Amino acid sequence: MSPLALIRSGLPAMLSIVLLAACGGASSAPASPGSAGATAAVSAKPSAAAKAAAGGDLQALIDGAKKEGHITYYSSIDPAQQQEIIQAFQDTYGKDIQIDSTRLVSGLLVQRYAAEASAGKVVADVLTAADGNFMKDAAQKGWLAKVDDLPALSAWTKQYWTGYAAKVSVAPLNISWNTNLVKDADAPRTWQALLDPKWKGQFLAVDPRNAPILMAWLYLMDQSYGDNFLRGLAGQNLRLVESTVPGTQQMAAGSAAVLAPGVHGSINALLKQGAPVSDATPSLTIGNENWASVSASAPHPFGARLLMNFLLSPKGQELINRDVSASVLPNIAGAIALPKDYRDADYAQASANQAKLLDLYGIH
Amino acid sequence: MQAPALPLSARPTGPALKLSPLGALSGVLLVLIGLLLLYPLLITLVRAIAEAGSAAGVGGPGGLDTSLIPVFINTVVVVLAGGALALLIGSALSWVNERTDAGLGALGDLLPLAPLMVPPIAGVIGWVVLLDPRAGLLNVLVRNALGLLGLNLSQGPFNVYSMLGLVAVTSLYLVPYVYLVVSAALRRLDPYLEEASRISHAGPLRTFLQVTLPAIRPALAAAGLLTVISGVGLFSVPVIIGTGARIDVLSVRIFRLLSTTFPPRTAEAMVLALALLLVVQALLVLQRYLVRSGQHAAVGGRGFRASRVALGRGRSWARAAALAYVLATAALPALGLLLVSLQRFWTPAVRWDQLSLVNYQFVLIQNRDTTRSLVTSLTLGLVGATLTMLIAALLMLHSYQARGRGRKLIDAVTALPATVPHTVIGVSFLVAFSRPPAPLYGTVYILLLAYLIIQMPYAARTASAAASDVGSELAEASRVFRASEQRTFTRVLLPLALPGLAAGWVILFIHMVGELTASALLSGTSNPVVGRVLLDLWNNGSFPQLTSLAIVMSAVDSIFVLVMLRFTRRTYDVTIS
Repeated sequence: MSPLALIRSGLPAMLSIVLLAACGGASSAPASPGSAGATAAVSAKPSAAAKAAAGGDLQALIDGAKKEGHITYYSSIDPAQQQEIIQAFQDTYGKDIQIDSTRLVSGLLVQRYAAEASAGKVVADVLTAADGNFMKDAAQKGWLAKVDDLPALSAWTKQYWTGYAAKVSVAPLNISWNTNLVKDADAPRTWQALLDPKWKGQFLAVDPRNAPILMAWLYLMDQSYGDNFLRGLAGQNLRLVESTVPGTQQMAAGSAAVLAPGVHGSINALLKQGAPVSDATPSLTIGNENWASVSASAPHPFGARLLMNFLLSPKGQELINRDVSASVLPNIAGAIALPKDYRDADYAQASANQAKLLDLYGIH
Repeated sequence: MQAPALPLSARPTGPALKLSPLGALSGVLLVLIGLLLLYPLLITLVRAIAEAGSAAGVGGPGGLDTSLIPVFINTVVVVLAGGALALLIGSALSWVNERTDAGLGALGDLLPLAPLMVPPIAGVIGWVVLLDPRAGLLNVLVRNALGLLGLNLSQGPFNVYSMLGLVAVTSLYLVPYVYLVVSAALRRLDPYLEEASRISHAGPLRTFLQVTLPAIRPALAAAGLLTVISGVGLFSVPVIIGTGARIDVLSVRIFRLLSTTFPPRTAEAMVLALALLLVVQALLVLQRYLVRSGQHAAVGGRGFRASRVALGRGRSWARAAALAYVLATAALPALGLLLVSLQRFWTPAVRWDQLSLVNYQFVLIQNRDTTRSLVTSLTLGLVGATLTMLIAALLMLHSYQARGRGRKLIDAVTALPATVPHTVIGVSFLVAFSRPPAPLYGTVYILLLAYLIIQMPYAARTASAAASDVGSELAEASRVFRASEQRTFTRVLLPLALPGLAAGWVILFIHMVGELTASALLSGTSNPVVGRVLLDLWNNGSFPQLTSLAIVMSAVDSIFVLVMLRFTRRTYDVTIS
């Protein structure tokens, strides 16, 4: 082949690389690596935004957010609710603030956030995850911003504000079942009812290694009902699923009769579609506690604070919690009430006893 | 008067190594590939050691404890059984298609690739949808049929959540590798051996077992090694079926260590990865022992028309069996996916009047993540596959023609990335390329480089098989006529190797477009790719949305496969006649 032919044959490849560069440039614009000048600008912005927030100046936050035009939101909240929150935010503050949201199960989400933060490449402006311990760690590492003086915080229950993160929703763990396979009278409404031999081989369980709250649930069960309870559950020939959402869908399809533990949020989405599912919350339980926070090096600090403020406002709380979870604010329309014997999850003990708990539960 | 001193360049060179331009380029590429793999790993190792000092002790539950033993055993069983099954089916299929008169022509070439046309994680979910013991669509159909015969089963008869299910679905994903490598070798096979065998009154099956198979032994070895390498790193199948069947394998264990805990247990994950590295290295040594130059049939310099073995009565059976297998592995899961994608929630009790396209609307129009990910993935696939295949072709063809000089080094370096699980590559890239001198995190380039390094071993194996089949005769003839090394490469070797290389390109493209494991860590909101978005939908979305995105991807993949196969066939014809 002559050199000219060689170049000609290489042309498509070269064109593709140019195309890719253009494509890459456009798509990476929201998180482009900073040059020295840009870095200086970014580091100047948080302090300006912080000042605006500290002054309780909502209008300054709104103006700043509109100028930034973009917010990146990492959240483990149910996707349908997520959409409603974003929609309501844009209805309130206008569509010129674009929101890109990444939804992942909590374990994966904090992993990604941590990898990005420790690499110095923060992408998320606001983070909502069901991992209070992670929030503590992240605050210590300097990854979270201290947004003490957001306007909405004045009406917030101080007990649920760490200085860096706010508890925005509590979704109690519950039991769900397929109404085509389970008669209402037989339905398991307490944890002990799960040991009924009827459910042997009909039981879906979420892999507790995937989320700290599930480990904490195992610990609670062990503490409340003894080692034999967990052994009994293991004897039901559990089938493991990676996370609650696909698990609930499989249960709804009839793959199993019962799923435990789960949350009402996943059931709600399916109920709206007419799926044959139902659930019940035992009075003794713990819950998915979702914490929200603002990144210290958020690429869009004004937008971040504005969104965080929205999440803490009564309207935001209503959207997050309606029908599915409890709010720490009183009198939120649609928010559920926590069961009588709701406890705080003991992550420390659960982690310390992890080997024993997994062994009893039959996971090796 | 003294004769003028010769300029330095004209002096006769001494016994030092003579490096041609092509050789120099190969060397540079090799160094770059090595760096691309080792630099991130080194940075990660250093940080892991630094962090291990402060973090909790190594050896906690779920890491390097006794629970590892069943994990290792499971991995070995699944990979070997799945690989063996894939080798059997893949070789038989390619023989039926290439060397017998039961061949299906273009359709036969396409269909074994069909499992590749559905992105891995979605393909597995297709099988779950079909063969879930209670809710599986196929199981329900079979149970209904058995009920008509008086046999009433409450579940099954097939259970995808079992070792059998895991091995079967794993082998499905390994058959395409075998098929492509072996059929390329069969296409190049000089039939004089087989004709001699038939003249000696050996039947077609005997010919196949005693003549054909031994003649393509290097291709079989390459295919076998390929199945082990990909089997060991396979993630999407065991994460879905393995978890349900309570069968843990190494790839999932490593993923859990890195993704579902904070902080990631990098030190332990790296130890497991090193163990994998040792095993694959040992296998490479084995392959080099099996492939000895000159002991296999290569493309002869004489022209020939490949004649086909007449199967006689067996022809329609072989054809039907091949067709049935291929349809079952491709059409059935795709149909399952399609049906679920049209539902509002997965249920075997299909309400035909309630089917709708609402999920496609969401995936193609409403959701920014999915639409952007489609564009990004396709572009990355095109550029990445071309770049990787070119590099691999250059390295392999040059080394085989340079009489194995540096071949050991090239084999070692190009095979090295396969010994590192994709999750570790993902994490190492994340850590290393988020800081100077190359801050690439959040861009498409970090993905491009990750895909390149991940797919390099497969590209190299394919190019190696293609190159070894192109014997040295033609290259020597070219050199006798004083063609330069570059000219020999571009006008003789490359065109001859092209069918094998093009077939490899297709696999590279499809893999890059649907890549999941590394993308889960490297792809974010600024550089979304389909693999990561599918994982997000699996974890947080709904089955119907996941399956509709999978169907869209499959449609796109299929078009590329069809175009590529047409191109491959035509080139082949031109070269041979």
